[in-house]
Amino acid sequence: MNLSAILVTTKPQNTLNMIETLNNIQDVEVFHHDVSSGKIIIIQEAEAIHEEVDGLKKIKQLPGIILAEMVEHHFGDDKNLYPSSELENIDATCGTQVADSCSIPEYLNQ
Amino acid sequence: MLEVNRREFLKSSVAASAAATVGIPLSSVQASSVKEAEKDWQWDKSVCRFCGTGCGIMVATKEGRIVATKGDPDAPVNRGLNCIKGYFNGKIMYGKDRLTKPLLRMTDGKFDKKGKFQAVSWDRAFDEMEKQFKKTYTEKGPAGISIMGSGQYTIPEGYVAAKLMKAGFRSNNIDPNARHCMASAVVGFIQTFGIDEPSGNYDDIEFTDTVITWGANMAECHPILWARVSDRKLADEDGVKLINLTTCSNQTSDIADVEIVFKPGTDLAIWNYIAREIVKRDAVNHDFVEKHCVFATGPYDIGYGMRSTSKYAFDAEKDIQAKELEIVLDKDEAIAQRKTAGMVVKQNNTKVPVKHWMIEFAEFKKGVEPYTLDFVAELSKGDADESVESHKKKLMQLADAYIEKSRKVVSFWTMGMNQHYRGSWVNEQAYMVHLLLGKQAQPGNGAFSLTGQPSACGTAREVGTFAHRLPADLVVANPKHRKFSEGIWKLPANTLNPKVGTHIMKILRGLEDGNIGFTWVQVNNPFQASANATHWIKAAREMDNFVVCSDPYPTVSAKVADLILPTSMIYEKWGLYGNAERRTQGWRQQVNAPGDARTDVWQMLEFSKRFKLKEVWGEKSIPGLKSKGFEDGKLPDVMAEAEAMGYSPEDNLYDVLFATKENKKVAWPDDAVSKGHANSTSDWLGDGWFPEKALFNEYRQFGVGHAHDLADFDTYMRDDVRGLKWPVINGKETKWRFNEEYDSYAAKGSGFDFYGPALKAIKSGDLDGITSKEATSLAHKAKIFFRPYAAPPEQPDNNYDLWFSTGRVLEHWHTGTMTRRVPELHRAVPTAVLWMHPDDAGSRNLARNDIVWIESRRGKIKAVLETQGRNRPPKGYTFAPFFDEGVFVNKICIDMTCPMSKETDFKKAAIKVYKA
Ligand code: SF4
Repeated sequence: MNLSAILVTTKPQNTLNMIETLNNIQDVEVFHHDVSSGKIIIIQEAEAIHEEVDGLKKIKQLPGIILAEMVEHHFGDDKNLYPSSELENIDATCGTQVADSCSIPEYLNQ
Repeated sequence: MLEVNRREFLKSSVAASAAATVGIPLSSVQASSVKEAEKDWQWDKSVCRFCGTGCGIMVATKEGRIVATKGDPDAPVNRGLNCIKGYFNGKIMYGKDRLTKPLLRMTDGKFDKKGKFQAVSWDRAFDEMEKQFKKTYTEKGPAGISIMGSGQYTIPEGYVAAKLMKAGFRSNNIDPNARHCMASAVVGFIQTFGIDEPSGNYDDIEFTDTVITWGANMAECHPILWARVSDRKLADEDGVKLINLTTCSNQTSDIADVEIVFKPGTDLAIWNYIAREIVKRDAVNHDFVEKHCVFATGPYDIGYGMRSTSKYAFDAEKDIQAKELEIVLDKDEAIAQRKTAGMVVKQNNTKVPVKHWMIEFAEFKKGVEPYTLDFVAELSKGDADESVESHKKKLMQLADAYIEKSRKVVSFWTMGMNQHYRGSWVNEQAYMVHLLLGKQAQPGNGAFSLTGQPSACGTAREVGTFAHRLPADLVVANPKHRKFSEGIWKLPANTLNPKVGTHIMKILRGLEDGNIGFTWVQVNNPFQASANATHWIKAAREMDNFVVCSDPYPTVSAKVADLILPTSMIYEKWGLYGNAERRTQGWRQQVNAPGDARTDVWQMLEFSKRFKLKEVWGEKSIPGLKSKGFEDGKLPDVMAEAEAMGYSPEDNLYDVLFATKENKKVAWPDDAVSKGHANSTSDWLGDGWFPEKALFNEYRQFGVGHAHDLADFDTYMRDDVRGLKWPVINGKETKWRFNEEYDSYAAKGSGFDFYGPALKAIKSGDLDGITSKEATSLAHKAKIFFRPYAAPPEQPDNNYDLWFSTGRVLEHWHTGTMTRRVPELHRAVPTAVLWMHPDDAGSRNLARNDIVWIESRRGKIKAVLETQGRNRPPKGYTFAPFFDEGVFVNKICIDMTCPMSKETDFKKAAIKVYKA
């Protein structure tokens, strides 16, 4: 599970509408805002990175968005990140003996 | 805690922490929840791995792993924000195909260029590398070996590489991929100001009221700076004006007041139109110009940086390559250069393209006179669907924005102006306009070159990992500079080689023509990133040479190498980078590298142990060397003087150049600085010193007192320091250089002082050539160059009928080697597409999402066609990014360069596109 905190900026007068729009997006939750500056902090929750990136891209395209950028990114629980065993990883990629631990992708030798 | 509660708790604390970062007030309950969630994390300051903006990143580790990253709220550059790439920083190290063992091509246990990669020990890897290096070094001398380095080197890495090559191996054949990125900016700086790097800084954004972007899609490529520009615009929508000049409508235009789409190469004419307007409206700041500037120009017939022989060219390339020798002036070029159309012009100054001389203001005026609104508007209009009248109107608005007296103006540019067959000229033209108006080197006023790579400035330029440079703006060709460097490095006189080495394009060409027998690729991916790639890949695989590639991942360059050295990544080592605003920033090692991956510094230091002084400091043959104090074609034997200095022929380069007595005093562990962080390089070396710190502090000696002053290593590691802009004088950074008010190097009472020392005594002449015999000094002045429009040598014709340009997209950086390796992203991210105008697609019977062939004189590749989205090319123009090794755009790009800077023009090839 990846959590990203995203700063969204909109024109101050749009802040409340924007909060509503954002709250309607799946896996997005508004946590903080400041009407005077049009700043909104949302948390986006995603299984994996590409969903997070896609999500951010979609937010960037919402009408009235001036800025949407990542502020903080928490991925300590991302299971895909740290293969449970390095050897397992190597075996899968190079197809040779585990003991060689060579990590040679197939295409390197094509 | 239940999983779901834990997640809710984590969410609210991440949100609270983010809110605090961007300045949204928090309650005390919220603040304490952040503390609770992060209680066993260790946060430390660091720097983004990716672009030259140089954002500060906070990295959190827990039990030896990175668990979170966030924009650094205390970093003045980004004030807590990160762009989407910045957010990959914590993850780029964990791609599944991370290399963890040295790999050597072998058959039957022996090295074989045609063999398959097999894992070997570091000893075995270095044994082979040493053998192959020494073979070439004996056969071809220092001229036959090379390093292809990087603007992504940390400062200590670049310093070790440069010192090893120049002082150790006596070879100047080290050149970075930064050559492809901002070499033209460097020539612009050196020729105009006599010293490298910008006068201003990013704070100009908040001080200015006009931002003009030239060939810089800042919204995608420098998003954090663009966020600052957007903030400024929103704060004063009517007062702040944004103008975007581009060849392809892009996201930077979205909030611009005016978008000017121009034809490739005609930026040269547009700048001159502005200059002509300044002169015509008598808007020259005469006081400023008289006190602080002179006028200058140079030859036009300087070629296009291509090879002068057609011997290696594919048949289809030969017509363009021939233009390296002579061209026929077209109608516009003839007007722009005050000549006649159809005239044949031999390119007589290809060997001395940087030659220049002073001219009078009257001559300058004569030079810009042909650049009338009518002429420039017709020439430069880039969008077939726009009327000349509308384009004219915009050009006038552009000139007004610069000229309006009360307006402050910042011009930003990147690759559009640098990767240009006349990149150095067009950089100089930006200064021409700003200097004529006296709008330079003041808060909110200035021409500012943005850089691409994270330490293109800090390492490639300042350390001098170029074929012609030494640290701190010194150059190998200057005897005084060599002497000074030999002093700091404790080398016998004439150890350093005075002959400029081979630039990166020439190293690649050298692999093909046999002049280069050994190359070591470090922190870059030249076989993907260099234009006309088919030649170089073939050269690496089929010619008799040995290619070593230090790499964390199996990149294209690793794939074509003979030996791959698995390499530590950013937070697995100590380092410092220098960003585009002269800000030097440092970080500590956060985690350990996986498997047998090792730091670049360790790799070079280990390798240096294998060379005895007697092998490198004897007499060496250098073909073509001609320099005062040297026998032609030779570097002298310096061993006798070395022995007099206390060295022995049996000493190795590690002890002589790196682990010197002084450096070994800089001990590791160093608790005051390390604060519990590891240093793998020190541990692997095992002899108790702190190489990154010792070598940084040694390097620092080059700049102190020479307007390049850096603080010491410990200062940059301090928690309360988020980088400092050099020159750092008495601990204080310099915000605006050359401006007496801010820069202590500027003479008191001068107001402005362009004190840069390089190229400050030149001859005089008129627009056509030199007329005086004697050089005059122009110390303390900047040069305003007249540079004419010149036509791009390759342009669309009946066969290759479209323009092609390559560049970056927001999500990927460099050649995608890191950004594409975030595990899921590697599979999920779309490949590079070719953007084209829908009408151009229609007239070729093509539709969006079709797979098409893109073919140029140099090769063809397949890509998916896109006619919508963020890039909206005008008719006749196409764009595809280069991050994707599956859509290998450099096979079609032309390897012409700016002849002065040798920077490749990736923006102006001619192609045809048809259905695959
Ligand atoms: S890629 Fe550039 S703009 Fe983005 S976070 Fe890194 S340094 Fe900042």
